[in-house]
Amino acid sequence: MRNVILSLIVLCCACAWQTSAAQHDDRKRFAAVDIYLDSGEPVAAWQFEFSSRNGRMKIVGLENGESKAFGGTPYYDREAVQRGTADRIIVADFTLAGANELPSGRIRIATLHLMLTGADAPQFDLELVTAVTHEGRTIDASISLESQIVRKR
Amino acid sequence: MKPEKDRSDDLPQPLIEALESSDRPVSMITARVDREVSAMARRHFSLRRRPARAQRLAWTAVAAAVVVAVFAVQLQSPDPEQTSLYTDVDGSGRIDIADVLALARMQGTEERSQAELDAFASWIVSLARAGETS
Repeated sequence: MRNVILSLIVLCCACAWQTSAAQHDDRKRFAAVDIYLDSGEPVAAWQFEFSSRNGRMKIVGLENGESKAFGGTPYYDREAVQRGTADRIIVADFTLAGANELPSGRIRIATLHLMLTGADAPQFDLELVTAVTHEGRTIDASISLESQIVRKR
Repeated sequence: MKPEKDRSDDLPQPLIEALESSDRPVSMITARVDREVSAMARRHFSLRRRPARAQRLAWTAVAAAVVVAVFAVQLQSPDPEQTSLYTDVDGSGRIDIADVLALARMQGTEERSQAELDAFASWIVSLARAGETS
């Protein structure tokens, strides 16, 4: 009888631990994703699209990059982000600064702030829609990201 | 008082009489007079306020008519995509931020305001629009 009670207690503890682990998986995490544009020529306008491959992500904020020529916050769908419904985002910006003030090389053009759910590692899709020079000529540039989980809640 | 009386002998008689006639005790304003004056003032200003209120109503009606007219015009206006602003300005075959840059760099009669450029760029990044076109 004592063994049966002991087994029941162990079983209950295992169930409780599993439930707790499952709840932990649904907890929200926050991540900051830096978006980098790599261009051999000075860039006057750029546009990219970002989304999650496994879907457990909401974009909750956006910061501008490091270039002085693109001083303000880039264009994005603010309403969707504020509603908390943005599971993808299109970000773009342009500048009328002189050709000698435009950035080139590897530049951080934006930082996205994300809310992630689920235990799976997030998988992102990032596509450079366009990058053009001061004269409007398309640049053969590449885009990349660096993400870091900020904290768990 | 006496020295003043003495000095007043040098003044002309009509002036002395005029000064003496004006030197009368101040009439007392009773509470009743005060109330009546106050009531008269209130009546006077309430009569003056009426046309102002009517004028305000008229202006409100005009403003409402203008708002209704603006809404009616907006409802009848064509889809923004069909307007000349939101088009493939640079001829690349698609509408993106490069078109906003091309539009911003146009000079002369085609020059656009910052508000128009912001509206165009905001339209490009709109997820609802992208969902429709994709």
